[in-house]
Amino acid sequence: MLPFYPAFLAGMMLVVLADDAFTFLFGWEFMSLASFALVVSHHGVAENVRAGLVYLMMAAFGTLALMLAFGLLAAGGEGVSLQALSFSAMRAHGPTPLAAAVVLGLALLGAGSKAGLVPLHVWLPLAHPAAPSHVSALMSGVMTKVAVYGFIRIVFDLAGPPAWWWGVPVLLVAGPTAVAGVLYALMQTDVKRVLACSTIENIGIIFVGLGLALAFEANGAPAVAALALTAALFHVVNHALFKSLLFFGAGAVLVATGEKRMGMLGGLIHAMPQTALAMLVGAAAISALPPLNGFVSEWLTFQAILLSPDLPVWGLKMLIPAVGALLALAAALAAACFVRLYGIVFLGRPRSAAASQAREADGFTRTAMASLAVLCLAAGILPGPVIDALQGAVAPLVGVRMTGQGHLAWLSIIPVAEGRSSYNGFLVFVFIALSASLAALAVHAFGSRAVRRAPAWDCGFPGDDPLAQYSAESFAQPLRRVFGRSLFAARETVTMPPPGDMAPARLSVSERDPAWAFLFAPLGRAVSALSGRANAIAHLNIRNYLALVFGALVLLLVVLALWA
Amino acid sequence: MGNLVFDIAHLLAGLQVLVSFLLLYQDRLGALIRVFALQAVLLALSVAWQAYAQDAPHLYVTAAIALIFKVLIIPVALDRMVVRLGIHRQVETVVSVGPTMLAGIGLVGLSLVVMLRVTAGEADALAREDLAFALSVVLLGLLMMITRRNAVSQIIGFMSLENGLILAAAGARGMPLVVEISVAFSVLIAFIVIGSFVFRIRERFDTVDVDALERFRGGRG
Amino acid sequence: MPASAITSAASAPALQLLVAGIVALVLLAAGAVPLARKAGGSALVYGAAAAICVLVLGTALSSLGGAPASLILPPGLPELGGRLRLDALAAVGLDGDGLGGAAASPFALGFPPGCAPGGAGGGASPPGAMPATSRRRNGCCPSIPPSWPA
Repeated sequence: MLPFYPAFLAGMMLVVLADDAFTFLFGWEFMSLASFALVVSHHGVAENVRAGLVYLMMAAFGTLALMLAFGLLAAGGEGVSLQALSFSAMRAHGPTPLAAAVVLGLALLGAGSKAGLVPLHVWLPLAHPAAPSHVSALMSGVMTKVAVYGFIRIVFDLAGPPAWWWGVPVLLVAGPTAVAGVLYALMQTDVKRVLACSTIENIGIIFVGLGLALAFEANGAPAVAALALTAALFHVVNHALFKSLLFFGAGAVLVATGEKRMGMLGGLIHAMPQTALAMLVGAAAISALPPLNGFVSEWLTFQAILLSPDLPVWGLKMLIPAVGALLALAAALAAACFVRLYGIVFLGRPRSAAASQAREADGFTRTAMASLAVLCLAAGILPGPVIDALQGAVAPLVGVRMTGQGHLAWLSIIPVAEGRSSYNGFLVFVFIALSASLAALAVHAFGSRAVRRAPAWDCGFPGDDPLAQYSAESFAQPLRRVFGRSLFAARETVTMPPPGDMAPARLSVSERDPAWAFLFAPLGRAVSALSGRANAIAHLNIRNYLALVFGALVLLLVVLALWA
Repeated sequence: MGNLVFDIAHLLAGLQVLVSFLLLYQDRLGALIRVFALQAVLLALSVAWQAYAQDAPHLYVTAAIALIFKVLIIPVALDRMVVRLGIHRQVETVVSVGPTMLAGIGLVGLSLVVMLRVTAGEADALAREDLAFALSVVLLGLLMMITRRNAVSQIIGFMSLENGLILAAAGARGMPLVVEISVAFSVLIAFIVIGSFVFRIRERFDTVDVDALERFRGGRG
Repeated sequence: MPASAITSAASAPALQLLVAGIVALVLLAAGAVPLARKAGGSALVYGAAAAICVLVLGTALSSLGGAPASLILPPGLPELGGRLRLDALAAVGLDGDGLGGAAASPFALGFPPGCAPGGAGGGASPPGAMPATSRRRNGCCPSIPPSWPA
């Protein structure tokens, strides 16, 4: 797998630098195939092979959609020269409104399948965790961002000015993606899978920003469009930071314990304090807690949402607040999800021998995690310079740039107007640091320093069993009962042995992904039924083949006779 | 004069179609081979007449090739093959003769409709009629290939189909000699290849019924 | 315009540096084939990848506000060539690429080779059933005696 790692990086860079459709798709496929090879690098595990296959099919589908999109964009040009495939030629002659609408749909399919938009996300929770942790980090943190880049490049740059309704399909896909992604994450019990599902949620947040930018740009509010696009790009950067950090942490835990099932972990904060601290920063950042970076980008997105009453179109006035509500729900659930992840993995007592004997990660790992954690904090405290740096990219796409934020007093940011809203990450940081230290001082000054260790829960469990702790499943149970029944058809079955039987009672939970059940499984059945039919053709004799040729010939002649 | 040229060409081509029908209802292999030779004679005559009518000497060569290969060499070889294989002399049909003949009539009608309509106003009448008959011969040859079980009668169907191609080529002016010669040779080579295969099949499976191959291929047909 | 010539109409040195970085990564991928079997091979590859990513990250950061630069390379479709362009959006994208690579490569240095993530899926592992001894062990991870106190 070693050679594929630099190839994967090179492919992602080539996509971003490409200025013609061929180079773009070449880089895109390079990236897809290299990452496929990395996903199946541990091909001894059957699950990884299945993940790789699903990923390969979805990647091929996405590339097909993008190829068609580029074909439509290039078709507007004069002549049949291959020069029409260059992005500059595509910019020079915009597509017709109909073609541009189809391009929007194809870009949502093509880039969305790579980024993990619901319902094209099914490969993501399979493939991202199957790869080695550093590759998982790259796939979740960076490759999905390359897909976002592709969407922005096609829709904002090449497809010409947007129509008023372009934001609608994007928002309709993005809002549910954010909520569904985090709900998936809450149902998972595998650390890396939780992180992969949370990537789906963050992609939803980013696409909400992009949809808002499209809606505002097309409806005469370019300044708000610039705000929304900045928020989306900021979240792109942020997610690359904290998702890489979290995957590194998961990788460190995996190396230390050999385990990524949450039910086998616990108490790692004692054995791996530095990893635990870095993971805490990452978890807080992805839960959008101030003063970290995740808060800033989500806050900016909400600032754009709050400006939706100014839009002239009624449909958007109704839709955008609804999407905002979904986003708020997703943010809350994300916090729950990462409390669960962090609490189960790092707090409490070890649930297995491996967890109890873990060691702190090595220096390289800790350095990588620490630098990312510092960057998360820096981007949260100093959002102004980051916003200003992004304006170079925002301005050509929506025509306007946000007002400069870097020079404002006390490192504040004021996205719209001073009377309306402002945020100061630095002050929040100082306040939190001060109040936390004061609280700690107060506790230590007035409280007893003595530590008393006593059985916490002794009711009915004579032994001191770590399995009596809250588990990943039990933590998620309330949410599973609220959302899981209808959305995931989650069922809890309790198997109680008869009296006198010494077998343990079992509680098992079953869920299904509606995207599999209602979209991909019927599709798979249809394909296999069709190929079953077509397979019969492979077993004919010579005369039957000749008869087929003959029949086709006669049919064509009849058509010719009727038409000519 | 022009009328007579057209009529004779028409007559010869029409006779070939008629002979194709004769091929369809033969139930003896020997008779089948001889009817095929008759069709080849008619083909040679037809091509020679085209050579005279179009004043194209190279078509005489084509006629000679047809005469030598298809009237003499191939029928004799087929005859010997039948004798050496010792197969029974009956033509085994998949579809019985009556429906086959009806289908053949339909095919001739179809090819006339198609050809006359498609080539309307483009080629001269001579070429159009010739092409329509040639297409009929091709389709009847194909029909024969799919309604016969026996490998030898499939060879004859194939050769008859090729007769139709030569007829079309001769009717369309300007077909280079090189192409005709190469077509003739490739047909001969195809004949040799198919013939040797028939021998191999016979050696292995003790029959030349192509359906018998199915059992050895593990097919479902 | 002839595709066979490198036309550096507005190609800033930054873009050429980035192209060099991509080419270096591809060469590194080719070189990693024999290196993968050597003892220090993976460290060398990840180290080099980290260095290249840091370079890409720095270049992209410095060209965030710069004017767009473009470059046409000979490999690619005829009449078209391989067209590359570095504008601010591409710089943001490259920042992400470079950052991810620059962080993941050092992390991978510490990641023991061949450490397979266990086959345990995301299926609900029932609480109360914990087969502590029959778990899959990976070669890279510390071996744990099965006599863990219950």
